[in-house]
Amino acid sequence: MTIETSSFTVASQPSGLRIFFRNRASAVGTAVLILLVLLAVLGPVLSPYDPLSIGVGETMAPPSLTHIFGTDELGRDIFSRASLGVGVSLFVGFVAAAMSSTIAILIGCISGYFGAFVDDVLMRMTEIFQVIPRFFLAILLVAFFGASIVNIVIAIGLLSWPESARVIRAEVMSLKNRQYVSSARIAGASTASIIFGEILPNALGPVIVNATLQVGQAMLLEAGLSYLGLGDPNRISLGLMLHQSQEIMRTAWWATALPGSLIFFAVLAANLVGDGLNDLFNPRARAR
Amino acid sequence: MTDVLRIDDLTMHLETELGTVRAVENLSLRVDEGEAVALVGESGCGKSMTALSIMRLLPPYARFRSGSIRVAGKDLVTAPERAMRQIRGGTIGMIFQDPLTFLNPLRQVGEQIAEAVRLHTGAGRVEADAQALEALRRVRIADAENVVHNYPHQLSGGMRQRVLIAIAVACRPSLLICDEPTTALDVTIQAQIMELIDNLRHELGTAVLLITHDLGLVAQYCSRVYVMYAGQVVEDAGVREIFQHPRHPYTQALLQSSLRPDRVSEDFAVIDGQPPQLLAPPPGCRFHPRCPRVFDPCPSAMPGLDRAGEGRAMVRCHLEEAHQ
Amino acid sequence: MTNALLTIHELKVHYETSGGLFSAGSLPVRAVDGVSLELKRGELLALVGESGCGKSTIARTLVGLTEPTAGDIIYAGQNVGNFSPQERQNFRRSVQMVFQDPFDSLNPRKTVFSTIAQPLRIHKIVPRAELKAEVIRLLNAVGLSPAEAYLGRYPHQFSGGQRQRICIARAIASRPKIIIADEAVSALDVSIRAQILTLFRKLTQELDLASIFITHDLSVVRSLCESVAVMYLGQVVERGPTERVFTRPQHPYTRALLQASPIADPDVARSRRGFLLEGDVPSPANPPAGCRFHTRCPIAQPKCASEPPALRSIEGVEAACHFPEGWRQTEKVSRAEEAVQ
Repeated sequence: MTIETSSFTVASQPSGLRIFFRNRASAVGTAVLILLVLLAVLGPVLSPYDPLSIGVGETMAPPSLTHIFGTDELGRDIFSRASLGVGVSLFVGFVAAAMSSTIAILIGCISGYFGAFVDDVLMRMTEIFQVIPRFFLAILLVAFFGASIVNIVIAIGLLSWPESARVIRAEVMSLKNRQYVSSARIAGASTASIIFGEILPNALGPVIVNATLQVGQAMLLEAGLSYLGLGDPNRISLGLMLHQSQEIMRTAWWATALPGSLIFFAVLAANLVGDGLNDLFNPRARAR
Repeated sequence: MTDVLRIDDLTMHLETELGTVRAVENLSLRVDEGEAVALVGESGCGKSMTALSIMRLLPPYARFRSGSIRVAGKDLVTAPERAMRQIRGGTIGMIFQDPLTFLNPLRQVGEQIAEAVRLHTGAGRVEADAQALEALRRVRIADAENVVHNYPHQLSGGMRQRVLIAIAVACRPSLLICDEPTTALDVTIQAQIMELIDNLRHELGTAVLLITHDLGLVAQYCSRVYVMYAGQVVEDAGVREIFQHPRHPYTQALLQSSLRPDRVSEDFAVIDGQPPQLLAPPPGCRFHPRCPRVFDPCPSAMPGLDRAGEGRAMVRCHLEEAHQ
Repeated sequence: MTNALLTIHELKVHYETSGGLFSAGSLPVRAVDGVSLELKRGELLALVGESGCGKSTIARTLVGLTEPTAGDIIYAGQNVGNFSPQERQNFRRSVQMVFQDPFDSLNPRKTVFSTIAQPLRIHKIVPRAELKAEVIRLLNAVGLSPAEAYLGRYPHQFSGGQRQRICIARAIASRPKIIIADEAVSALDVSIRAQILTLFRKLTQELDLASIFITHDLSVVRSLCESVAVMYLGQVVERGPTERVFTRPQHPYTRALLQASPIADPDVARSRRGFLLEGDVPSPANPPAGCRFHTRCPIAQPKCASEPPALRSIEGVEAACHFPEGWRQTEKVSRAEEAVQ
């Protein structure tokens, strides 16, 4: 019975892209992310003002035709600054997620494949990283090594891998007993080529899902650090804009509205895409 | 003899995104009281879909296109869901290949049998528990008093299948549908389970519809056989007739391909290729691309299911028509 | 012994079942417990038994997926345990395997070409420039043509039978001397199974391969293999030429297996006389003392519970049973009873 019905389900399975975009939320998330990237890239073209120059307009001017999202207390154009900030946020998000995923893949694969003692050691290490409050350790690292954007990315990347590593480990543990992995071993394949050639490509689904979710988390973490004044003071990020305009929040709401909502939309979009990818890779969620 | 199940001209399609899967087409089938009937075929031939149609346990994209399934005077194709709940587990019991999927891992097996009893008979808790114990004894579980309190994972594959049978026959159904009941089991356990089903058939008078790919089980336990290929019945005959004088080329091929422990076969690979996809079945006779005896009308015209002679097999083949 | 290509001597494979840092140790599973077998050049040997009897563990040990706990594997007269790394590599290349589940034995993300080319590359069977031609040759050899069209396809585009052909192509790619087929046709439909068996038989003859055919299905054994070894709970209980074992089985377990095997003939199937085994196979972590079969054996005597029987020659086969004649007596009795009735 299982074989028979499964052959019907295989026949009724639509392509991956269609599943992904049939989920309205993930389609919206993708669209928002594309818009944000366009905003970051085209910002300088769309807005004639230098985001760093003081006094390109009046101070604290409300949104108008000349400054569509107004100006801040130093007379800087908020739209140009925010478009630059979006770029920084996305950079932090994607690079930190890529970094943590790389660490997670290495640790997860080694732990899952070799098992036994190696697994015990690596998993205890992972647990140590998991129980440390991430935000406070990030504060500590930044305070210690200096608040450059590179340090922030490294701090976030170093702190967000444990969950993914556990997911990958579980995936590798189940995949390593598949017959095609045994076949590769019988064919004489080396351990590295078995892990990275046979197992990892089949374990990538959850890794990609987790990485996408981490893009959002990393952006939030960066915004939080910058908001507390621990961000890179030389880079305009959305968190830094919030930090700088918190004193004028009551008189000039527009100074916080745009960066605040951009953070909101960026994190939301990353999570929606993550959910959509999860539906795509998780066969149980593939039901009609 | 009265029939407990009568399917007439049933057509059931699955409307998937890739197109229409012609899972069951123009299928007619009858099971008489207390009789053991086999529905044989290879995977993907629609035999399990036929069983799920009877129980109306189909995926939401399944559509009945024509025909009727008559059980105890009701047409199950049009019966309301409420009536189906009484039929399932009440009038018709069903067991599957993988019993673990159908047992709740968190509840004792006794409870699970008792629940089935309460649902269908309205018996009280104490009465249902007693019946559960009796059901376990009925399926020859030696240590029934203790097994009642076991959880499914504590039982072996054979024991789980016995528990599933106990649930299926707890309400004394008039028909027991067995969908590949022993495919996942070892041969010696398979023999035990098949003997059990056969004994229950005699003791309780329950008719059995055995859905299987294993011609050996059919030969030993069934009195009539329906052979399915690509969603259709291609031959329908008594068990001796079908094994000794198979008429449809597919049945003949199937028999010749079936190896036996009691003799050496030399040329057993008689047909090439594989069964067609039911998404786009071949035109004309569905077996013609693989048929060793294909001739003029086969690729274009679908043969009807006709009787080969008085009291003989029903065969869906142009060769039969040519004879007449 | 002299013309044996592969000899297994007193092989034992025990698994520790405990796992993790905090769990207590438990009894080891004695998956294979003292098995001796011999495979001749060009021979098709069947290894039969029910799940948990250790037949797959033997296969995994021979191809190096599992390490033996004790015992020797002797290949072409030399003990594999004493092989240099180079010799060991060569031995691995010579023993290949085909698995049961065609839906699990091909990497879903690799094309047919890269699957079959893998062993060719690793063992440098052909020069790089001839890789494609060799893969095409192998695909044609297993009956997949036009081979060129299949090279770039992925496993999900094939049926179960076709996948099993791809697996066979991969197995013969490294020019092995021995193929181990672990339930290689059990998941296939009757008509497809017949095709794959025919292919298998053809290839073993053409390539002069010896083969260990692991299966629970006795009907396949009768038509395919010259000799057979029946296993129960990690031990061989009977072995010999297939015709002998099938027509005059000496061990009661072999008889029970034969009795339980379905026969696609209503008259023969219903006229069989014999017994059904009761109960389940005991756990290999805690096998019964004495003869391991005595808990389910219909002719068991007190001696069977205490003394493990050794394999000995009886009527042209080797069987590990204290009372093979006990079976014939019960048969005589039942015939006599029938005659009286």
